Amino acid sequence: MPDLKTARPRLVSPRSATYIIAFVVVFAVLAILQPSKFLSRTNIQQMAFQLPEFGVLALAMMVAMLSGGIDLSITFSSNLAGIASALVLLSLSYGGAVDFQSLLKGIMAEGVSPAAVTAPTGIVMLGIVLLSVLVAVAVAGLCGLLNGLLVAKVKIPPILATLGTMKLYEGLSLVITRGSPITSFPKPYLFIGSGSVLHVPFPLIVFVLCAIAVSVFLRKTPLGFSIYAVGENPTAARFSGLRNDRILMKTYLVTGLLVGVAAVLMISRVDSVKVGYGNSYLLQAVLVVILGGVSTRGGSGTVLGVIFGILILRMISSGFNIIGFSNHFRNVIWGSMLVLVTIVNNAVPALADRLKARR
Amino acid sequence: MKRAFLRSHEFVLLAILIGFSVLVNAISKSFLTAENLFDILKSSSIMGTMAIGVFVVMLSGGIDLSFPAIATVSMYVAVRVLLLFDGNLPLAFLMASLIGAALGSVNAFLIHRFKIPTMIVTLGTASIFHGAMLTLADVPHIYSVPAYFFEFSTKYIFSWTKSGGTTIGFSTLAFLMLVIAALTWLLLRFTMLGKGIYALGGNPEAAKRAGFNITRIQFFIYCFVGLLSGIASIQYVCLVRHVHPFNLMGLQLDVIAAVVLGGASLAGGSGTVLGTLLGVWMIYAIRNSLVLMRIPSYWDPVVIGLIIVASTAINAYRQQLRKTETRVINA
Repeated sequence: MPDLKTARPRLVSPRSATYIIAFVVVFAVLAILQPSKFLSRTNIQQMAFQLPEFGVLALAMMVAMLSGGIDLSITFSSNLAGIASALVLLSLSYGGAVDFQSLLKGIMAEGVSPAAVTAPTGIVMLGIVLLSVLVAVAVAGLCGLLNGLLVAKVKIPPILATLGTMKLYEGLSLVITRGSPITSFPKPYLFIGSGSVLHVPFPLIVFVLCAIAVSVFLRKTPLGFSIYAVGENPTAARFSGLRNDRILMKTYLVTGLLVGVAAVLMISRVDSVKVGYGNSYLLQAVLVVILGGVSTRGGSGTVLGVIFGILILRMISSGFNIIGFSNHFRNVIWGSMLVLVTIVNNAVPALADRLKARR
Repeated sequence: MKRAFLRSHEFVLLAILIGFSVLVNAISKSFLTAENLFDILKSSSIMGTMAIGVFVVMLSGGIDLSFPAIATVSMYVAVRVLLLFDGNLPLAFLMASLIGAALGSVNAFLIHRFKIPTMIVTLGTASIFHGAMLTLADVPHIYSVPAYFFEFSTKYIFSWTKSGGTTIGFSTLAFLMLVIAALTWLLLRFTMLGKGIYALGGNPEAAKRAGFNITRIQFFIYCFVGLLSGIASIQYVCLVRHVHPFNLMGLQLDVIAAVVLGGASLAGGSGTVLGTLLGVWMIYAIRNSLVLMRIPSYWDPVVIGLIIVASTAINAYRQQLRKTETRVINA
């Protein structure tokens, strides 16, 4: 076994320190330029509710990219998971009043008003909500497992494998819903995405828990170490006795489970699910993971770095909202940032080497 | 030689394509008719042109996700400028391909100068190009294009009229695509540049040491895929007779699926032009048969997804086999 102690990622790497500075700078600029809007209660609240779903997706992408791969299917597998969850939720809570066929067409379309149907309450409802959350996580986990199978066992390059399954998951979601939205979830389910506990948004709590869990998973468990090792150098990992294929399977499974959590947060915040929701998150997820210091070749990066990446991106995004940039112009900026940050990230180690050599 | 062809990926694809056609024809009698086949050939010509460009990129070991954005931008700018004065079709092709090549050179510059992964670069430039166009253009779609676009798409190299009055023939759009394919094949097979592209895909370090000018080859590759995207975009205008900013944007996956189906691998160094064309036709044949068998169009992505997964899996398996074969030889 290699000396894993030196390979262990530090809590705050010098690179993360750069991101803390970047975060403070972006925050200060926005707070000084538009204090009344940026620091307003509604803006901060909006950020606090929108950030978690994207944040968990970015963590999912991070895990895949640490192993030297990528998961392009995350947005559509989250759609598929959300649809499955919504179907279970609605058919159980409005049982009898809504048949499966009309569910598939979207219950509103059939003229059934869910308000007229009393959903079960108390412990039964809690059970139903928990079950539908589990369904989302399980479906996304299965999607991830399929990705893992294709990457690890069939040995398809991750880009192509997940490009294929992305289309597949999109197609399955379309076949199930015919492209129409599913809406009108019972209130207790909506709490997950839009409720607050002691003024703290519930989704934010979920995000923080996920971030801690992923951080502990990557830093303290053997599997976490192995993901770094496989990402750093697959050949070396194999020769040091690691079973690369099993590790990669589990990597994509973890990615899938996180996608399931993100799916629940997303659909419970907007109270509906439709194929194509969160499509723009894909590019942004790759962007924040790279922004957070994860190497495009895998093997290095910390959760803390990615969290700062997420915070910076969300702040800039809300800055765009205030200035009133169009979505198209935002795409120009995200694209430029992706290229620029990759260039800088690639240049920094080379520059450091040169400085060291001079010394 | 003959035996080598029988074992090649192209032969297997051809066999599957023929087998599939016969099977579909047994269910729906209208598949294997001259009308339907020439129609598939015509409608697949846009994807064919793009696929040849993407194949060359993948042959060199890269990937391009920005070509639909490049096609959309060059299509819009070219048609917009041509509307200002009395243009003609060759000018449209020339302008679109130059714009495409120019945008491709941006990709080439970033990839070569900063040595960042091709996927990240083209993922970024795709949203830069497309976003910039949508930001700068006041009206991003053009619904009335000059008549010469439409006229070109109704011309045939040869044609005959059926008793019902419908004209069946070999479309100029398809002819153009086949000419491009033939030129690309000649380039890859008989020029030093072509050998350089194969060498770069096989092993960049070895190619460099063998004396190939990597900078020049990479610039050529990304300009070439941009140029072909520009040509394909004008073919598209000829076929659908309008310019729309989003219609081409979902094409990355389908085109990459076709190229991979045709035998190219992400690792580079493998695949042929013929295989790529067979891959494109395979996808169109499957799509067309879904329509003929009255399967709803929302099944389309499922089928395309399955094709990508299946073809990449077969490629991965073949590579695994080749590795063990060489290991046996080396032992």
